[in-house]
Amino acid sequence: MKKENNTDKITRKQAISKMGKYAAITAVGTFVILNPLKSQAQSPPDAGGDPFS
Amino acid sequence: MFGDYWILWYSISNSYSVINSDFELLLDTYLTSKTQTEFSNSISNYISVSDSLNLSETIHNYLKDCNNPYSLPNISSETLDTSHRNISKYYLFGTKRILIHYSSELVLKTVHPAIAHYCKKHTEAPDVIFDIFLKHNNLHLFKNGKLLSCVPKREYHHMQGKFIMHLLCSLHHKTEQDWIGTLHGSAITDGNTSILFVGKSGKGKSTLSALLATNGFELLADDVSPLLSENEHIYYNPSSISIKKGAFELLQPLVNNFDNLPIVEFNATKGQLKYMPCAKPKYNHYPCGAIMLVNYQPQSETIIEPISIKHVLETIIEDSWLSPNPKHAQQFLDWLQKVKLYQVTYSNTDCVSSEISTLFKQLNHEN
Repeated sequence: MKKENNTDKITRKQAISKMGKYAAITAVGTFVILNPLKSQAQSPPDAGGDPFS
Repeated sequence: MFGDYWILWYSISNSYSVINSDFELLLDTYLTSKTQTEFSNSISNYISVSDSLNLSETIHNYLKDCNNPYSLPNISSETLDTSHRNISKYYLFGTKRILIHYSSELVLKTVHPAIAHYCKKHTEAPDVIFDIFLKHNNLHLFKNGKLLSCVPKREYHHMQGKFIMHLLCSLHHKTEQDWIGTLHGSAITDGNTSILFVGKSGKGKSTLSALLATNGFELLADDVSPLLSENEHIYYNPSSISIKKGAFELLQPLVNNFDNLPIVEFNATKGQLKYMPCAKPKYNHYPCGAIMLVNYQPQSETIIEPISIKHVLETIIEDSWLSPNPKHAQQFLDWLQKVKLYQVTYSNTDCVSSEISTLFKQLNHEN
């Protein structure tokens, strides 16, 4: 995945030093964190429905 | 790295994060900087000290959110109470004999309709016995006398998922630790490879699977598609396709005997379902060549187009169970690198079958 050679390090260093304010602020606002289910589940037939009510 | 995106997996939380290249660069700089000053000095001169402080704070909060410790739901130590065995059904899956005891008709409706086509007259001693009952408003699931799941009745879909997981383990001679995950989607095979159809609820993945299963393809799994670590194949899930009322009209003229499939409803105010049984594919497992996001749009043309990993992960991860084992997380990411990612928008049923058939041919040709 991530290259470790020196050329790449220099390029990355240059890239970070040239990144503009708005690019940086935009970048840190666009991440997504996704959490899988902690146990297996099927789709409920209707979201939140209670078949036993 | 997937195209323009980086996917990071956090072992403490078992969470997946999608970030762009700029964020990855900032994150890497943040993590390798010993002090705030060093971070500020490393990034652009165009960014002021106060902006740099804000960036640090955002990254710090991001990392905090990504490292919320993962905790498994508590399983109580209740013992099996056999007094709830009011209805018993016997199922034969190939040579595997399964006996399920249910406490009531309502409890039976959570599991039985999807596997009713395997129900047989009780003859020989079962290999596995499940008990499913409602007690103190909690649904209990036992396998061979051992408690697997105890959830509030409103969370019955977790009990269903745990049941399917253990049914799959029994049928395929596996343990829960052998699986990379159970992906929320339906898998269809052409006999060589498979395509996993994913999409948020109501986007038509089960409907499309039903259409394809009547057009020369075979259903490998509906709703819960299990991915095995050993070979990274999707395995056969014997559950019928669950079809919501909204799709009855579309499928009625296309599926043989559709009218004869019984309507299942938990009660009068909840949605109606039909369960469509499908023939088992020749093999128990197939590799997956593509993940396809399903997007049913009335009046639209059939369009199959590539989509981003971000779009796919946003659709499947939060509705899938993925093993927290680091080996499995790495395998999941490696597997994602290998499969093709598409979106299909469709309304015409003949046209979509033809396009998917062409895609299967392409996938087979490439392999």
